[in-house]
Amino acid sequence: MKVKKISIKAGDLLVYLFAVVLVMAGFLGVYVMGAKSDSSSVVVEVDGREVYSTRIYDGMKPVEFRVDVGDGRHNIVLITYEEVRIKQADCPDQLCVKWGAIRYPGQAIICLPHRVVVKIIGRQEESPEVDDIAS
Amino acid sequence: LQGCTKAGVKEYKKDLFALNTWVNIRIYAGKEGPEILDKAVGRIQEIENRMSVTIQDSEVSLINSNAGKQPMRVHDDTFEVIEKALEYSSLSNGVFDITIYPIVKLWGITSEHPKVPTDAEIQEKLRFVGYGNVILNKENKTVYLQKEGMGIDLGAIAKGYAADEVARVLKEEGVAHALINMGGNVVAIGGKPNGQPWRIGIQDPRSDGVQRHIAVVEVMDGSVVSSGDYERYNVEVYRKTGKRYHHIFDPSTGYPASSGLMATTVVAPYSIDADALSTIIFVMGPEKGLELVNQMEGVDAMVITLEKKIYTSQGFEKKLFVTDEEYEVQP
Repeated sequence: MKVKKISIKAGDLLVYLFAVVLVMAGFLGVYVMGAKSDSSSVVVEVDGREVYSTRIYDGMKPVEFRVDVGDGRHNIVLITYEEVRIKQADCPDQLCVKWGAIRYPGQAIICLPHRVVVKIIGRQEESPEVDDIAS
Repeated sequence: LQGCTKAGVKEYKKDLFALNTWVNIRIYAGKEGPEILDKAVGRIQEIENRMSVTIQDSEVSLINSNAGKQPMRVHDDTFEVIEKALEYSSLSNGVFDITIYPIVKLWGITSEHPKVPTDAEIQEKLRFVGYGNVILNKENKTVYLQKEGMGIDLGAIAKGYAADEVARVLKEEGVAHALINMGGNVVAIGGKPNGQPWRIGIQDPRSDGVQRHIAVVEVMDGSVVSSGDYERYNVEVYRKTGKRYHHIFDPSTGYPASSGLMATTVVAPYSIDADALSTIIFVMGPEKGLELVNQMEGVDAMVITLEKKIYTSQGFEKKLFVTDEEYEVQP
């Protein structure tokens, strides 16, 4: 088998180096911004198993995620920078849809019939008004 | 006095589906935190596998399938919970009754296909309801349902028991600050790590599913449990007619209890008591229910009437902070 020799010219090398620096700067920039803003993410679980997660950041495009729980059953999660909600579902009680929006780390939406949880993870606020709710 | 947080103590959390509800555990512990949480989860699953009526080979399911046939030997856990349930049955003159299961199944409020049964169907199933036909044998740890067709459902008490057991496991492991939420049954161990009490919100029964509170109670070591017509109900019928067929049944009628209340909350040292009592008060109604609680040591309660008026047991109004002016505490 013939091996093709790869020759790198000085000019090419410069371009490669530049590219590497750009990528690194990109990572660094994201990292710094993430640390500066209240970096939080949304995690979707089905019966304790993570099926989706995404970071929330200023200027992000709204995301719609369809959770398939088998037998064609589903929940559709709408994630925007401001809030997270379950937009539509075919569960019998519809409680997850009625749950409304969650906005802060520590909050979660539960769909009991589908065993789906949508939660916001991140640094919790200093002192929430209540620690938990008896419902 | 400053609440002391020991060095290296961190917050650890765990959540899971168990006992047909959503469970949250938050503890403050050293680096052994995750193992402690695993032990707590193991205990919950043990209880679920023994007491869930939706698990086919659970002890409760075996008791039910052997109704009218033979007594079934059960684990101490199951025996203890059934014994406690029967105590609450006689205390409440049958208002609390685990043999309501045939009625629960008939309505199927939490099932895939809820329905509104005919009066004849309800009367037919009511024949099998009656805690007097549950026979316990303390020595052999057996449970026997005397009539074929009977069935028990520990749904109104098992979550409370499980929450207490989680608290016991955590304390045994040296946890001094924790908050357990088992589908709305809240149990606090100690206060917050900073020494302040835990602040527990009382769910707004008319928020249409949105998690929001209308009042706050502060708790150190104890349980807060709410029950109401808003938790689980036949959504389809509600949408069409506005009538709320909910999951708390009156054993004397076979229909969802209608005592003029939409919610009750009980604060007690143990969650098993708070769980049973929140149901009992809901079925009994405001006057009889609060009177019962007033006779009990260390138990507080509040009810919300269909007119959004709050009534409390003696002295509880001073510990309750109402945060929604739509709801008024009555003298």
